Amino acid sequence: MKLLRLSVFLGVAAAVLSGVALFWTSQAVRQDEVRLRALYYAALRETQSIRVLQAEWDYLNRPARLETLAWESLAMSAPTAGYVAAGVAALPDPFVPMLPTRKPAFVYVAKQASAVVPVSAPTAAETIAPERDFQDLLDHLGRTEGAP
Amino acid sequence: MKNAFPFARHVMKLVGSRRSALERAHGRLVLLGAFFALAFILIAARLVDLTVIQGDAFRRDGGVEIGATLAESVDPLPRANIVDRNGVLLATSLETPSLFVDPALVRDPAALAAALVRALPDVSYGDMLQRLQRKGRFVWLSRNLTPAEQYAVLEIGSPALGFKTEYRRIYPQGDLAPHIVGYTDVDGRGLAGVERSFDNLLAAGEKTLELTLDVRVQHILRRELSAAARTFSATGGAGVVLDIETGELLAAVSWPDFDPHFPGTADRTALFNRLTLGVYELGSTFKIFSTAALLDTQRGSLGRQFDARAPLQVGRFTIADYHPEKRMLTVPEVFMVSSNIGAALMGEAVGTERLKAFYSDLGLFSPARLEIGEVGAPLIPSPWRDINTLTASYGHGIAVSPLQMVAAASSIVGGGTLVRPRLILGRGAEVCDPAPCAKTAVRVVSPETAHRMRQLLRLVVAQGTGKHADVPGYMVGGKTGTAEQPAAGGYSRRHLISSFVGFFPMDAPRYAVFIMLDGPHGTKESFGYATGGWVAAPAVGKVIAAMGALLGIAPENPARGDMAESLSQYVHVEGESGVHASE
Repeated sequence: MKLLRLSVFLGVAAAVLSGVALFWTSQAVRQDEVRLRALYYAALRETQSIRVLQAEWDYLNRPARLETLAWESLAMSAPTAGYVAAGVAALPDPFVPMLPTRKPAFVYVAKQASAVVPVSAPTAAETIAPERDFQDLLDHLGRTEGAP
Repeated sequence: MKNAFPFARHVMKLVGSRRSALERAHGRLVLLGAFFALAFILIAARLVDLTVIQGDAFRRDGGVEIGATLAESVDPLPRANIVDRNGVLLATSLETPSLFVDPALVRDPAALAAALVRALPDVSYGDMLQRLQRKGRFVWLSRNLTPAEQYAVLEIGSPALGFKTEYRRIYPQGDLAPHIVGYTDVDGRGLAGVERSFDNLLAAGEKTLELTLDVRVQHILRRELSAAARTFSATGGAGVVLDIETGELLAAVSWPDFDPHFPGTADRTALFNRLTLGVYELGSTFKIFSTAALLDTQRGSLGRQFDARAPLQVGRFTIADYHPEKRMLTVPEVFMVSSNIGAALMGEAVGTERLKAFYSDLGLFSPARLEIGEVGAPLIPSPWRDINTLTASYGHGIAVSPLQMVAAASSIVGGGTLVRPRLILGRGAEVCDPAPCAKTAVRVVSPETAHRMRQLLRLVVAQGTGKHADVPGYMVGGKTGTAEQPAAGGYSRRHLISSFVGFFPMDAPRYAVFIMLDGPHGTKESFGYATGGWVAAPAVGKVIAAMGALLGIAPENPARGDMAESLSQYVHVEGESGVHASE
């Protein structure tokens, strides 16, 4: 009799444990399904966003629109056959020395500096250069500071 | 202690079979109680599972059926994209909200209809009112709303209104290639073009469909075709750019066109595909075929002369030239000045059966094989009489689609094997680069004939009726075509089909460019002429000039000379002006 009661108890316990295990497994699977579905919908939203961006990009890059914009904003028109080189040999050599087409009228010879004039260390106030415009800068280019 | 239990004196000890039955009943009651307790526990656990555990996920997923697997609950994929050969979108599907109503929840239909009319610009009050009072629990009010429209409807705040997410077909290139790409209905079913012929594949949504079209070349062709049509007040037109090596259609235009987003608002002439569905008597471009037939069947016949001194009288029919030369013409001269008389005599020399067999081999007697359903069947004389042999030699009395004509001419110019045009880009094993795999093994003319035809086509552009198609830098060849269209009692001289089919570079033809105008009228600039050489050839020249540089085709070396010069011995020059080129 005792043996019978023990087996019943063990059977019930096994059934309960199996039920709990089954419930646990099903819940785990369901939770995974939920996560998978969330990931799927997130990917779907991203895909949809990409589709929208692609459509917008290709809409804005319609050839007719680009052609109009290139002409109106950049004064660029479609290339012709003359712009296409027949091969690498037809390309101009970028390393050909750029020689003048004629002899210059006179040759400028720079005067050698007569002497090096030592200067004292500038003070903080003197190091701040006064504001000059670009033309002024060009005018003074090549002239020694302080020279007449 | 003995009498602690108050009813102890009433307790009876049962022995024997009665005791055994009681114990059994007790055991059964316990078992039944345990069973019910377990059942209630299970039900309670399931309720907690459904309402608490899964309910949270249900709300989060927007009402997905409880217990449904991912495969069961996900929405079907949107309709697949259609792209050009460079991956530029031609058609895509985007999510849009569609508005519906539950009429049972509408309390004041008149007020709600008025509010909807304010929110949605394209609906009418009467229509909305009628829909709001229908029976049932689901009635569509408006499909595919914009975000701004959806916001305006949400502001109404009616619980009877609801949104359902749908996909709307969007064509980012607009009216660039609607006759080829096609369009769908509001439910996403393909109704025309590629959308229709590949409806099942696109509806599955798994694979992007790549077309052979190049939107850049398509734009160039459409721009020049529509400009020519407007300049010469044509009622319509068609154009195509075909890769002769692969059979791929780089551009295919039918004009006028329409916005594929709103095909219902387009008129029937705009919806009609003139390139593949329309069949026309295309006139002198057919001289490519009759001349090739002559050269292929009678070798060394370039110097053969045909009497074009007077119109040809055959029964009650008179075959005359547009600008009569009134002299004997060699084969290159017949082709160059586009003499109908000469072409008719060439057809006669070939013979009816041979000419018919040749046209049949070129695919001119059966509908073009293309991946869209809008393909027109050619109109062939039945029965075919001898006069039909003469007229078919210069493109009258037989009507084919422009695409058929271009494919047949490309077969001859491309080297002599049949070219089959196609719209779907091949991938994997079908990739044709660099081998010309799209060329079939069906030979229609010999390589020698193909070379002679290239020279003749170049001669037409260099010295003949197609001078306006010439492009500096490229050796262009081609053939003009001008055909009077059938009218009551014969042909109308006022309604012309003017066309030009060009090929380049002519020493190794790679591309065929064709433009046709339906019903053009001459202008001051064209000296009143509306022939193919004046209205279509310049447009083809502009297309070649633009697409040649775009596709990186190197210009010809001027030192190589013109391939048509070898035919100079067959071309008679009159005075200083040379041969008068007519059509």
